[in-house]
Amino acid sequence: MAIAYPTTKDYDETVKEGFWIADFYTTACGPCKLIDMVVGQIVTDNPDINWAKCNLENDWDMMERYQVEGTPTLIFYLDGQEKGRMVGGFHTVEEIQGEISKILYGE
Amino acid sequence: MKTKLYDLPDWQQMLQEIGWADAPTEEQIEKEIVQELTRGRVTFTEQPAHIPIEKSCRVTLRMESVLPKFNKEKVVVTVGAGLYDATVETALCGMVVGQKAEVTIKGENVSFTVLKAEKKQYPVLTDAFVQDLQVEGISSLAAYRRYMEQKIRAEYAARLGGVLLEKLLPYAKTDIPAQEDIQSVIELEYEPLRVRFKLDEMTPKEWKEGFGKVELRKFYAQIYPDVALLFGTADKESFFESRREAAKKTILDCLLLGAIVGSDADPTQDSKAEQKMMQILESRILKMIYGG
Repeated sequence: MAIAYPTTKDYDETVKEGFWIADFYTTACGPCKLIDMVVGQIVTDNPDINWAKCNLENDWDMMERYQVEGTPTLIFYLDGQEKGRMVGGFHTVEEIQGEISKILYGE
Repeated sequence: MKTKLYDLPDWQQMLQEIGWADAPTEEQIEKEIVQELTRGRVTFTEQPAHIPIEKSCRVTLRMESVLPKFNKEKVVVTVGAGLYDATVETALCGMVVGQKAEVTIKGENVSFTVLKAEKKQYPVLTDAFVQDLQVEGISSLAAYRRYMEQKIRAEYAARLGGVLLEKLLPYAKTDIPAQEDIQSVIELEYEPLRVRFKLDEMTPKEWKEGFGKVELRKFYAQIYPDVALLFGTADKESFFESRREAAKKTILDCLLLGAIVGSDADPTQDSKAEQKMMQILESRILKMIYGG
């Protein structure tokens, strides 16, 4: 289990193995703080889930490269392949767990 | 403030009666510190086959069922994490490697065998872990421990203070909160929101589009509690109506707090009156519980 802070330079290398939640945010974004709490809880309970914290203020090119249209955006990767994404800050722990569960275990 | 308090029972005696048996222990505080500092650093090691599985163990299972999700040669699950299935994860607690169990899910039989069990391992804590958290002014483990102890105890004292006020109120002799006081308290809440969002200039349609969804209140309450108050309202009048009961409570709580801590802070003049007095009460509660 890992927490990483990638930019476009090392993003692909970061998410290439295992299950990753790429969390795109800015520091001024209020709903991003909500998602931060929710994802933090999920990662704490599930050490096999990795968290890539992508602060767009550090590298705005990530927006275009990964087609992030707003913050917060979560992109889920399994062994480097994008498997889903969720946009917006108003998601509960259960909603995000449900998305992850579908990706890891099927319906 | 027009509303008055006439009599209040002994708050310290009331607090003794409530008790604080559930005050955070050193062990609980340390557990929270470990959790915060080791997020992203936890590993797993295989545990002996005879050791029962507990919550947070990572287990490898063979699943058999007509349900596709539960028909897999190998599936890895963190017990109690809420990702796989609550029925299976509950059944796993207490099982050992090699053991088989059956449960019913969606009316179908699901059987599973434990192939491997791994226990969570936390690394030894270091100052570097604290520095990674970037808490202002805190860079050592010792300082972080002091900070967390203070924070967790203060949060507990705040909750206990709330319970104390609830228990005291039925025995306190007060006026019924005056309409004038209620109006003033709500005005103090409304005014900064009015300026910030130019509420006077909003049409009813704009207000509804912006703040109509009451379900968003709980989300905003976590980061912007003042803004959260607007959600679910339709206009200024409905905002005031929605805040009426809370304003009465604020007035009564402030009467009690003022008497307990010896303050004349007035919630009809100062929106932070309750908060300021509550902080004084919290520090007194902390002294009662922990001494010093």
